Order: sequence, then C-alpha cells, then structure tokens
Amino acid sequence: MDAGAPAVRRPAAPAVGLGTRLRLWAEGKPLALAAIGAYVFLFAPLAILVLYSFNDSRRIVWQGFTVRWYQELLADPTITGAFRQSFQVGLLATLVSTVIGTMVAFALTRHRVVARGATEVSLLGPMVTPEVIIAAGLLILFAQFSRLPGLLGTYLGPGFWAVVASHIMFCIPFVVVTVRARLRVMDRTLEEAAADLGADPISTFTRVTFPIALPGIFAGAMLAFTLSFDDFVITTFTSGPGVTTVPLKVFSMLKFGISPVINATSAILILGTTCIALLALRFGGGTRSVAKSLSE
Amino acid sequence: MPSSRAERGVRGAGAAAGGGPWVESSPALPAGSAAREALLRAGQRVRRFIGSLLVVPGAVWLAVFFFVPLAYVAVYSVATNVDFAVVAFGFDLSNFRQALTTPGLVSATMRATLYALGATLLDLVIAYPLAYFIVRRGGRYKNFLVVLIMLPFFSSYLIRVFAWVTLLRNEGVVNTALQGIGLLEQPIGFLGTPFAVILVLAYDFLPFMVLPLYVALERLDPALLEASKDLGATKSVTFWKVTWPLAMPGVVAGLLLVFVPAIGDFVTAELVGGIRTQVVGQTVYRQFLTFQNYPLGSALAFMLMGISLLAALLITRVLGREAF
Repeated sequence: MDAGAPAVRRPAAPAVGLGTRLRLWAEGKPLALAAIGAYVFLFAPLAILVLYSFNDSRRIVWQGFTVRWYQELLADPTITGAFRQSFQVGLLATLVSTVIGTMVAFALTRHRVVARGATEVSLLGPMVTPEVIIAAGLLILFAQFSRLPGLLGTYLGPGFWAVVASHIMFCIPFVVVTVRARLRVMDRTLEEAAADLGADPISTFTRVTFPIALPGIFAGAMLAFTLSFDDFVITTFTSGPGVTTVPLKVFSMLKFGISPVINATSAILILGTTCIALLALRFGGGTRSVAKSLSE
Repeated sequence: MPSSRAERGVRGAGAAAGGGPWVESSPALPAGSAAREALLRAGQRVRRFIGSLLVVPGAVWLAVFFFVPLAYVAVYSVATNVDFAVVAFGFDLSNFRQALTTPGLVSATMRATLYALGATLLDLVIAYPLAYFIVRRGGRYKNFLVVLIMLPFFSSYLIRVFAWVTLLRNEGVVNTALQGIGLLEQPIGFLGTPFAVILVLAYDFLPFMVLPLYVALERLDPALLEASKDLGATKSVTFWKVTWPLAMPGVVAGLLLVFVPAIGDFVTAELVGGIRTQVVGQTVYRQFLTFQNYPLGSALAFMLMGISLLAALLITRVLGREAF
C-alpha cells in the first residue's frame, strides 16, 4: 500500500452539544462511583489488615517496614501448631467430603435415585441453617458420644475427630454443588459417543466422564479446604480442649489483646485462602456456574 | 432445563440405562429380542441401584451429623437442666418460658433481628447498584468483577471481622487518621455500638446479596428496557416497572441469604460489639460453652431457627408473589 495514501477516513465526531456531553458524563458517574465505593468497602479492610502486619510498631502510625511479626509468629509453637492442626483437619475433611460429595453429585446427575427430592433438600440444610444452631446440636451429639464406653468414647467425644466429622458434614453440600455444576454443563453426547464406539460403562466412566468431571471435583476439593480451614463457629463448639485450629487461635489471641502478630497470622490466612479460591474458580468451570449454583 | 421429563425418560430407558448404547449396539442382541429387553431392564435397575448406593454415604453423613444434631436441639429444648451438662429428658417448657420472659434474653433476640434486618437492607442498597453496574458496564471484565466480589468471602470470616476491629477501635485506623488531620480531638468509640455491628454484619455477607442480584439482572433482556423506553417511559419508570420486578427473584434470594446467617451470627457482635449489643447467638454460645446449660441454649437456638424460618416465609410470600 502506498505510504502516501490517505488514512482510513475516520467518522466525524458526532455533533454533540456541550450540555448533552456533560449530561452523558454525569449520568454514568453515580453508578460507577457506587460500584467503586462497594469495591473499596470490600477490600480496604483486608488490605489495611495485611499492610499493618508489616508495620514496625504496635501502634497504627506507620513506623517503617518489618517482617518481625512474621518471625514472632514462626517462633511461637502454639501458632505453628495451630497451622499444623488446621492442615490436618482440612486435608482429612477435604479428602472425605470430596469423595462423598462427588458420589452424590454423580448420582444426582447421572443416575436415578430413590428419594431424589429429599436428597436435594437435605443438601441445602447445612447451607441455609444458621451455623450456631448446627454447632449447638453437634456439641450435644458429641457430648453424648463421649459417654460411649472405651475407645469409642475417647475418639468420638468433642475433639479432633469430632471437628473432622463436622467439617466433612458442612463441606459435602458445597462439593456436590460444584461438581454438579461441572457435570451439568458437560456434553452428554461425549459419553454416548464413547458407548457407541464400544466402550463398556466402566471404561466410559474412567476414560471419558471422570476426566471431564475432574476439574469440577478439584474445584470442589479446593472449596472444601478453604471452608474447613476458615471455619470458626462449628469448630469452637466441637473442638473440646485438645484442638486449636488457626481461627480458634486467632480468636483467643484477640481476647488477649490486639497485636500485629494477629495481623501477620491473618495475612497468611488471607493470602493462602485467596490463592486456593482463585485456583478453585479457575477449575470450577468459571465464576458464572458457581455464582448461579450458589444462588439457585 | 430444556429437555422435558418425558424426553429424559425416553433417553433414560435406552441411552442412559446401565448398558446404554453398549447394549443397543451389541450385534449379539437384535432389537426387540427378549434377551435385549431383559438386559436393558436389568441395566436400568442396576443403574438405579448404583445411583442410590452412591448417595448412601452422603445421606448417612448428613443424617448423623446434621439431622440428628438438629433433633437433639429440639429434644434438649424441652428437657430440664439438672446440673452442668446434665439433663433430665421430658417435656418441660420452662426453657422457652425463661427465653421469652428474661429481659436480657428477649432483648438479645430483638437486637439480633433488628441488626440482621439493618445489615440486610444496607447490603441491598450497596449491592443493587454494584450488580447493576457489573451487568450493564462490566463488558468483558464482567467475570473478573464478579470474582473480585467473591474473593473476600473466601478469607476467613473471623479475620474479616477482625479487620474491622483494627479499623474502628479507639487507637484504630479511622480514629487515628481523623485525629491526624485534625478533624477529631477525642477518638469516636465506634466499637460496642449497634452501628458497628450492623456495618460489619453487612460487610460479612455482602457477596451473598450481590451474586443472586447479578444473576437476576443478567438474565434480564435488554430489549425489554428498550421497549419500555420506546414506549415513552422515563428512566425511573422503566426501573420501577420493568427492572425491579423482573430482578425480584434475585432480591428475594439475596435478602434470604443475608438475613439468615446474619441473625444467627455471634462472632461479629462478640468482636465489634459490646455489653449493650448482646445478640441471641452470643447467648446460645454462652449457654453452651460457658454455663453448660444445654436445654436453655437449645431453646434459644430453636427460637432463632423459628425466626429465620418465619423470615424466610415472609420474604418469599410477600416479595415472592411479585417475583414468581
């Protein structure tokens, strides 16, 4: 093309009066400002919390950057112990709830189930009941269990296994919802094609259905882990004296007084769970399906 | 779901049944043969059996660790408290009488309801423009903007409440900043006020309001808005006569999703509230973990559940009639 050729003719700017322009400019603003304000409202508290975990002072006035609160945190065996315990609870709860939840999700989307309606409604239960009521009931249940004779009473009373069992309970519905969202958008014809090509039901499942569902299962597991790691209410009711997860530790530190070490612990928790959540959303077939299934 | 039940039934009989096309395409089983029919029927039965089997662990887990505990709360609420964590079962309504007549407990229940109501309305006011903005102006950043709203929800709830303590306390960020620029002489005591509790409750559950609103507004066909405009409706008329009623299912879902957890919440009032903002969740917490009076705690929990169910019913009935 000739370099001297006239450039593509731009459409002339529409002749809009100043008044109209001002009005157009002002029209969109309140909405945008409200939205920006809402985002600031959502993020500023957390950002400030993380920021002050690096402040070289116990007071609010900024004294310079430091990581000493993180060093103090690492030197405190009760905090590192809480992290270890949270990981143990979280991993166990994630493993079991993911297996159980995935089974339910498959049954609800791929099989005919006796009492389907009842199953669906019961899945909603733990999601819509105020947590403190479930927690109170669980405390009574585990207090009853602790009266069982012998080892049963030792293991099933309030404590580590009670916390794990309770976490599995409230994680299951979220795993089901996430896995089901993935199975629902999955193209059924792929499975039918596999079957038409002579694959038996088992290899159809292992070579087609399961691999396609895997990202959803992974997302469900991530979600379960963050829910378990973050839980405070149910854990505090079911833990008994022996168990301290990170949220319980943070709560007891708060009762002793505000210290930047709490900020540092919180910052680790915020960044950790945010990363896991982002991974979950990435694998979960997009935000939209999760948003939809959450609001259904 | 686009496919009708009948259609799914037909497919269920063949393709989705145990053997499915595997049976159908098998050359050894000609169509219509008795063996083929029997195999298909067996496959279907196997499939239903497997389906039910897959649900069993989940159903048992929820039964033992969700429904039995709820039943325990019901049973304990009418039991008699004998001693620390020792009860005599029976049908004793004195726990409810105590919960309904002790001034401290009644006001705690009223407060919880009012705070939850305040937080729910505040969330509606914050979330509606936000959801509207994302749907109308989000463009290709829509998904990103929605993820942003969900992200804080994944950070521990306790920590989100604690974040507000660092902001609102007397030596906190807000007071220090206001004093720093000379607007304040003395710090404002935000903590311990109903204002703080409502604000932080609203913060806790905001994503639960935004997401259903977003979904509802996104479903709304822009052609309807144009039609309304073409027919001469002003912007506010279009909003109140078209957008608002059509997005009502989202409003209903949002109100429920915020109100129910907010009324049962005790961490927020525990951390940013004070003696004068005690809510019923805190009294449940104390009856169980401090005083070990399980029956009274259960009666309070039961009432809490009653209020949330009543609210759910009211919201869906009053607003839902418009919505569905």
